[in-house]
Amino acid sequence: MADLDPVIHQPARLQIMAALAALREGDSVEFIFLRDLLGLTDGNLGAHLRRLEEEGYVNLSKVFVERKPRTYVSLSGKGGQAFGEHVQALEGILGGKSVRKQRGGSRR
Amino acid sequence: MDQEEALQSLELVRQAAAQTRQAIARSGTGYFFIIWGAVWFLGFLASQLLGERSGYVWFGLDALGGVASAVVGLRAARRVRTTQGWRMGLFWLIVLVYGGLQLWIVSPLSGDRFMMFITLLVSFGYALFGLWVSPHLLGAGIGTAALAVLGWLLLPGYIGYWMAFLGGGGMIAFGAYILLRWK
Repeated sequence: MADLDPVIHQPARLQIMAALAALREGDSVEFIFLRDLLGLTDGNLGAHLRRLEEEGYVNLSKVFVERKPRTYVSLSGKGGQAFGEHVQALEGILGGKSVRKQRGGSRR
Repeated sequence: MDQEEALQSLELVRQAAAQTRQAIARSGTGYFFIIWGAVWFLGFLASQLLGERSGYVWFGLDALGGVASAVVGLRAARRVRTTQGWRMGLFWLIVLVYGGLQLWIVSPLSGDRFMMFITLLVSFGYALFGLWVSPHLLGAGIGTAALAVLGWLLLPGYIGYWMAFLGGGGMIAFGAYILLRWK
């Protein structure tokens, strides 16, 4: 059975991953769209995205529109797989099955 | 982690996914309905009042509607970059080309029949597009077609007024509903 992922387990990061997983493959959303959608501050969202990017779960790309920088966020293939496994692990708990100990790593 | 925590986490996942889909569906849709509702309202009023001469009014209104839609579409595209955009454009292009070919084959049509043809073609496009992206659009397409046919049967001499107030007015009201309620 799949493990719970300590990086995704943090509630804000779980919401970010769920929001990105709801997009069609290849689609990306603007940083501000995600911030408003999840009710996070710029600093908070930025920190969580950096953590997810370090893990290789999200892709961040910066483009310039009318000379203003815009950051777009999308789920990576690795992120999609990790999120799917995390959700499976959660469903496993609800199914009354035993769950292996979480993988190491601190929650930020 | 116990079952209660797992349940809360899955609920967070469900809510975030639903909010994302709804936010994407909402972006631009309400404005599109208001823009094309206004085009229909003014265009069908012109058809009723000016008859054959209303063609120029329709041409101008369609051009304005196209420009306004492009502006709204570009603003929405800044927030969500999607690979589906070109498919949507291609879909409406195909509907219009097929409609144009059918019109060419069955022409000449009287003013009222031409109005009904365009109305049914556009509502067919909405319904088909709705199957793909949103049940609201499917309902709007089928509802508009049903209203048009009802008006054609019951009030054949006043189809322009009928489509202006019920078709165009209905689209404006639906667009306002989306902007106010889909939050």
